[in-house]
Amino acid sequence: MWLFTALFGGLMLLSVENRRRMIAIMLIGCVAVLGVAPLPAQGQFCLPCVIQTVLTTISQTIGNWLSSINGVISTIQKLYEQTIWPVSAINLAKAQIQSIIARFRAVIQSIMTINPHTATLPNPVALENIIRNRAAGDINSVPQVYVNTFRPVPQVGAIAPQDRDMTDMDDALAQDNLMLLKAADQAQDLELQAADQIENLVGNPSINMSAPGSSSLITAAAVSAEIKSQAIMQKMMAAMMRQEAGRVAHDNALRKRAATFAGQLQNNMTNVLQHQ
Amino acid sequence: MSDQIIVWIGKTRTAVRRIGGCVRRHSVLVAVLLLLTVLISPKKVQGQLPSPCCAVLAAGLGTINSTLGSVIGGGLQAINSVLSDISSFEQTVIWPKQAIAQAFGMAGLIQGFYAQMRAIFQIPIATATLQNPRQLESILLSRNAGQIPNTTGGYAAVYGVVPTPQNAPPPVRDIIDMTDAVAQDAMERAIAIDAIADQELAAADQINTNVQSAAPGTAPIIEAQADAWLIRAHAYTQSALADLMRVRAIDLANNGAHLKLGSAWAVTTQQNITTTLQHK
Repeated sequence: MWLFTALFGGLMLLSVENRRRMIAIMLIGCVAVLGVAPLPAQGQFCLPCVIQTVLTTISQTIGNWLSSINGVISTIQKLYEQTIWPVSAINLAKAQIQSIIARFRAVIQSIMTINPHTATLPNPVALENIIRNRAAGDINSVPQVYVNTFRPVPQVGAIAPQDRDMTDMDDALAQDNLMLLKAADQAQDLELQAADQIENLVGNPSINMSAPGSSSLITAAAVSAEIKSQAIMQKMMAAMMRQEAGRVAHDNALRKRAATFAGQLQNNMTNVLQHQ
Repeated sequence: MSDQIIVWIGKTRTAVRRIGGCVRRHSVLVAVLLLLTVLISPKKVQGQLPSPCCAVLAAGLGTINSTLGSVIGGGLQAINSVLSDISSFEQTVIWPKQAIAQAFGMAGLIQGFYAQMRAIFQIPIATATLQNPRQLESILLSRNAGQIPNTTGGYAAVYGVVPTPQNAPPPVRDIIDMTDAVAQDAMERAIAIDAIADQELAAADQINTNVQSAAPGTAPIIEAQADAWLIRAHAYTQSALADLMRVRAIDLANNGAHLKLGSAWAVTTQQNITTTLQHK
């Protein structure tokens, strides 16, 4: 560029006498100098700087983020393993379950094996046996054994018709409940077995048998069993209600009869006194 | 030699003067030629041979590569290691497949137990022998809420109805009617509770079946529903207990009323006897 500037400068000196020529040379020289003049350099583009920036981004920004993520995940891992589900705590819980099983189950079972039998005569002994044997297999034998002890409903003519009906109803309600209680006894035994099985499973020392994650399934199943137990309790309550209602109804029927007899007696006495 | 040099210098001076004169005369043309020279002269271009810039770039990319490997690769490897540990912990300690299978097995076992119980409670227990008691008993044991309206008729057939005003004084009629009412109410509620208990057993069966197709994460949802059913079941049990307590309360009230009416009748009788004796 400097060379061309000197050449055009020389030409302008040579043409100094002719102003117009000098101006023309100057203009041409300007165009030529502009042509050879280097383009303005990209002053802000610096490859090493760019690479350094990328490296800084990778090592500091992304690297720090990855370190942070790693830190958070490590914290979560620590939380899982040391706070929420420490293996030691899992084993401790199972050991505690086993301890409670060892301490209470056998005692309770031995208490429940005490099955009082206090009847002394043959018929009551037979009835007591059948109503306390906790089995439903002989449930249909209850009515006959019951009748042997409490006697059948009197024949027609031997008792007033309403008394006969009420006697039969009383017997029916009593027998129904005795039979239902045999079923309930067996149901209770099955419930106890279910409870034992649940407790055995959750307290099993093997992590492949019982784990914190599987206990939610067992709990859900146990709650459904609770609903069923509650339903059975309701059935027993319903039976007790029938029985109590029958007893009150019986007493009330006697009250009705007594009131009727009293009214009739009063009328009769009034008639007698009037005749006198 | 020096003469020759002097001659050459002279010739050169002459040539320069001529050229200078020529240039001076055609200075514009020379300027144009120079311009054309400038325009057509080749520009400096970047050849295919490595330049210092490429070397810097290559070195930079190499550094980036190694940085990616060490910083990002190392970081990701560390994260992967921790995640693998967590995964292993969850699969072997929290949610082992075998333990989950055992839990499903337990749900099935429980369902088996309760299926037996349900079968036991299906055994018919009706034992009444006469017509009226048998009819009332069949209503009471029906476990069918549709039978509730028939209770009144069956009850009256066995236990009679409230005496007429001619046959019993008003206080006695009141007591009898109230006692009949509470006894019938209890019988009707017993039918309803039996029917509800059957529904609860069926619902619990369904819930148990749902547990067997659940996952450990969804089991709490089913458990929440089961808890709701349990609360409901407790409410029905309490309702049955309440009716039982009402029966007992009326029974107790009857005992009290018996004493009250008995004492009133005793006073009346005493007065009547006194009056009769005074007349005689």
